[in-house]
Amino acid sequence: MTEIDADWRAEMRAMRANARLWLRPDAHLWIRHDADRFMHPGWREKEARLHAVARGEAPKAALASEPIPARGFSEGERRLLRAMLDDYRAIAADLKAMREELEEIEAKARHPNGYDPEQPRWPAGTPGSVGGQWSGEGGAGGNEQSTGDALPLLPAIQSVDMNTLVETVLSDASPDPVSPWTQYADAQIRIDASALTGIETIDSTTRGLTQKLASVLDKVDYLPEWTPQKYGIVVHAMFALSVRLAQFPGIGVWDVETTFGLDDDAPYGAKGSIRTDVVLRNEVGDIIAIYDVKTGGARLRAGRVRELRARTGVGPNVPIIEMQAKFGIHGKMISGPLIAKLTRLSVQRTREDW
Amino acid sequence: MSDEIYVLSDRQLGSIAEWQAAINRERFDLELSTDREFSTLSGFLGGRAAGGQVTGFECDHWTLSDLAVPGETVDFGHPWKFVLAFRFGRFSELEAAWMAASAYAAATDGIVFDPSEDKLNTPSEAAKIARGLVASPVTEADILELAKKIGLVR
Repeated sequence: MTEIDADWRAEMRAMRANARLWLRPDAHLWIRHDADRFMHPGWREKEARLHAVARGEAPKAALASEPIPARGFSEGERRLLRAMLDDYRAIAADLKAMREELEEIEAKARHPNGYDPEQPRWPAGTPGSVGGQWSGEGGAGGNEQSTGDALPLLPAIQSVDMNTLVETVLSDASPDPVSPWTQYADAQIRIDASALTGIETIDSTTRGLTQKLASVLDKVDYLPEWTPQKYGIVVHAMFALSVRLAQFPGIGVWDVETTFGLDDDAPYGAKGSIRTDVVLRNEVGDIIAIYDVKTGGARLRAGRVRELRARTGVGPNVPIIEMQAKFGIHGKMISGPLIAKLTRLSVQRTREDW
Repeated sequence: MSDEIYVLSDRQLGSIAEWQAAINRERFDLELSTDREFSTLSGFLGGRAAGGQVTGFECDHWTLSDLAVPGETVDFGHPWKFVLAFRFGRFSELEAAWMAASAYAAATDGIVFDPSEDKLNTPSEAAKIARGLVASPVTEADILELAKKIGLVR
């Protein structure tokens, strides 16, 4: 095949060093005249910046500091989103009231005399002459539920501050739309500035995966009979399933728990293979970010980062983003088991200055 | 998705056959694949658990410096010479990794580092964890049931 535009091809190679380059060298001739209709506003400026960096006419650092182009919400769209938010709030309030009413009806049906033999008591001999008495909520014998049977009627997403979420969507033109700490149930969720690349595709995925992980962690209770090891595996399994079902752009079913072997298309469990947690790909299938989930005190370590880069074949320009969930003691039943809940979810780009 | 544990030791075993012997001494029902050289282990190492169930885990030779995390200092109480890294994503792999790691630690007088708990386990403590996992497994059906409960699937 003739090299119709060798410069263009060289530029593409420089911009996307990991590209498999399935593109024919004259692919640009096939771009339709009305391509702008299908692209994000400001994409031409962004492409121009990428080309300038590839040609060495602009420093690489300038790319990251460029503001993200506005998504172009019109005033009408903003009004619509606000109206939808109001509707959501009204529905959420109705559902909350209905749930409370339902719980009250169920409680009355179960215990018509207001007597609940299952309610925990203070152990006999407890100081303060309360031994044998029913314990109230929040006490040592509080009504903390410890099993999955106590799942909320509404999904945990209700505890997210919808103002923050919607404002994040509306203010996407800002270079750093993520608030540093967001309250999720009782947990702090932090997307560190290092995890934000300035590349919309990656950053929006980072935000989406963070919400998804927070939601899973909020719903999966640490069952008393589980060991920390077992809990970690269950959380990972639930998150993997949840990401697969969510169908994030750039994350296919096979991009969750992907096997990277010594040969292409290595199957799960192939000799010498490694598995990544989540990889994000661009439109031509190249990996543009790697996400790694850690629970408890686990961290992404130097050896693992080296393995991930070596086996996936990505260069230092591809961010490896660590999603680290820490837990704290949430409550304690009279019988003794501890219930751990998510207390902090930190998302950060791994530093490689070992 | 994967979790990890590490065996820190001052000496290494010479072969997978020696490792298998250590596993047998602990009476664990795990058979490691022998088609790999122990000294060059990297990536997934297959095995078979009770009932012939196919399992395995990622296993790599690391050094103590590979355990580094920027900005963090970790004290392992001793400048261990060798690190064997285990990584696993499914419950059967979790069981296999803990069995293999505790047996390896016992055979090399090492310790098992569990980062999720930030805890150093003696070989006997690690073996106890392994036996606990084997005694109460989490099956694929359990995972599916939980996924249904939290509304991920119907």
